Amino acid sequence: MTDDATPRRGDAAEQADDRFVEALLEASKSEEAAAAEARIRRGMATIREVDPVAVVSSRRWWAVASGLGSIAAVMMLAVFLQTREVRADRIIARVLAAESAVTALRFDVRLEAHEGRPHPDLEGSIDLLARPGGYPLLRFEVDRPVGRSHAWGVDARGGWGRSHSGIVSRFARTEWSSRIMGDGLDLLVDAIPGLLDRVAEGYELTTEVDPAEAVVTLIAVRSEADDGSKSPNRIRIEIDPDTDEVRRLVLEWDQESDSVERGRRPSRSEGRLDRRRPDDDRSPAQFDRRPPPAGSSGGPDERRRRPPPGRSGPGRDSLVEEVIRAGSQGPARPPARIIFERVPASVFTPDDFVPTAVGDG
Amino acid sequence: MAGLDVESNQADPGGSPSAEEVFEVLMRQNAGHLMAFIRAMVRNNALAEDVFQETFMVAWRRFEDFDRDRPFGPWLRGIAHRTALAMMRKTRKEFAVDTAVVDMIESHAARHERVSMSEASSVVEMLNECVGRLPDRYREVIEVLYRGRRSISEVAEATDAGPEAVKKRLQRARGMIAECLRMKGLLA
Repeated sequence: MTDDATPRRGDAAEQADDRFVEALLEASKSEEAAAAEARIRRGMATIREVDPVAVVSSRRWWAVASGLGSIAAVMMLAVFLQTREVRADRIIARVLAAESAVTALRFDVRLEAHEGRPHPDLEGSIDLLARPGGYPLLRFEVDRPVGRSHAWGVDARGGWGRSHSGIVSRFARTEWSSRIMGDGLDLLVDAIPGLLDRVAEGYELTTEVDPAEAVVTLIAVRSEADDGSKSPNRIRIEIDPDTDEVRRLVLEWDQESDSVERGRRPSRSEGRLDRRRPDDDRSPAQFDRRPPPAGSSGGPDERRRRPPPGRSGPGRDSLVEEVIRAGSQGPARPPARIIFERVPASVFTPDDFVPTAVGDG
Repeated sequence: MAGLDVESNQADPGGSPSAEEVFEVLMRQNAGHLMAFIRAMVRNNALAEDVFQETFMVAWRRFEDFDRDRPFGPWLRGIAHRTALAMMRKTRKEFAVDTAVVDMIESHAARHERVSMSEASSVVEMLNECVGRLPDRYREVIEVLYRGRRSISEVAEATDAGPEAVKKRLQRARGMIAECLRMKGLLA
């Protein structure tokens, strides 16, 4: 804040204007995006610490450190990195510290279907942009195979989908979503710190160091393999040891039979969805616990805007319906593997996240 | 907020979010206008961060009591208002914020909330546009102070204007930005 002069007039409106504009200008500073994320993570880490129901006792120290912000993580690292032993929690802390300041991300993405499934492998890219004072922007473009290309994203106006025939549809969804549906395959996208935080729970972690390739790999294998969760069974996170940034990310799911899936996944008609079932002893912090999409459960206003079940809005095509349906009813069948290859992110602007109305199919 | 289970705070096996998840989403949705409100109240970044965290904690403790038929933003700012006053008293910072000023700040924050949630342009885009429309001498001081992270004395030294002149120019610039934002509907 600046120590400017008292407003000339004591007029309340003028004072309020001056104070509020000053606050907005503070929020427009370049470092605000990272600060805003750290603020939320710090708050969430704190409430998990004080809330006895939230199973916080199993949280690693670095998960808490991530909430306290990258500075705290770096300070702790200065102590812990005095030995040469490579441990997963230390690696994660370093990555958290490095990634907390990142506001623009680009990944090349490949989704591989299980053998025997009717889906072809899909290739494309994901761009993410954190913005000060606003929700993050996202653009997921599937461009191969050409005949199945489509896109999905969130821009300054809200959510949008573009079908392979080039039809652009919009829907009321402005909140960051950790899950994207793409052509029947379930793609889980999370900010890197969020991903690492989730991996901390319910996964056994090991590390590999390959000095020749100059890469450190964190391998996470899901502890409870038979709990009905749609979390990936295995996660490989390849980290650049020089920058501590995630270079490559591979999520893998085991193939499940349809009968097993049907038996595990309760439908909406099986009972109230706003109550945890008494016999459910799942950890509340498993990987697939995701924020509700704002368009489906973000509050009373969002509920009012949502069309009744079975009634599509005008102009929506099947892809967008799929996205909305998936957001409210849980994941579809996961693919065999999703591979994220990080590529240098150019400077994004909000315009880069606006749907392009091209016939791309 | 279908699927909220405040009592158990657990995720529903069918995929419904826990209270903690819902709370996080709501806080993310509302963090921008909340922080703007707090900053405008306390005018001190370090104190604003403390008030934000304390508000976060209090809101979580009282989340079970939150009336889900009412909007979350005003409820949150109500907590922030009380928290800010308490912490300003405690730290002996400026505590006598005129009620009328607070009411106006609340009105601005409410508009900020609505724009953040529904309008085509983001708050930041509106602000950038208004800064871009300023006459050069005013825009420069805003850019250098808020985007160049320089102090008033540094700007004064660089421009040979004197600290008081820079402060006046800054205040005038903010006044022009306020008018511009009012035209855009962001300020009440």
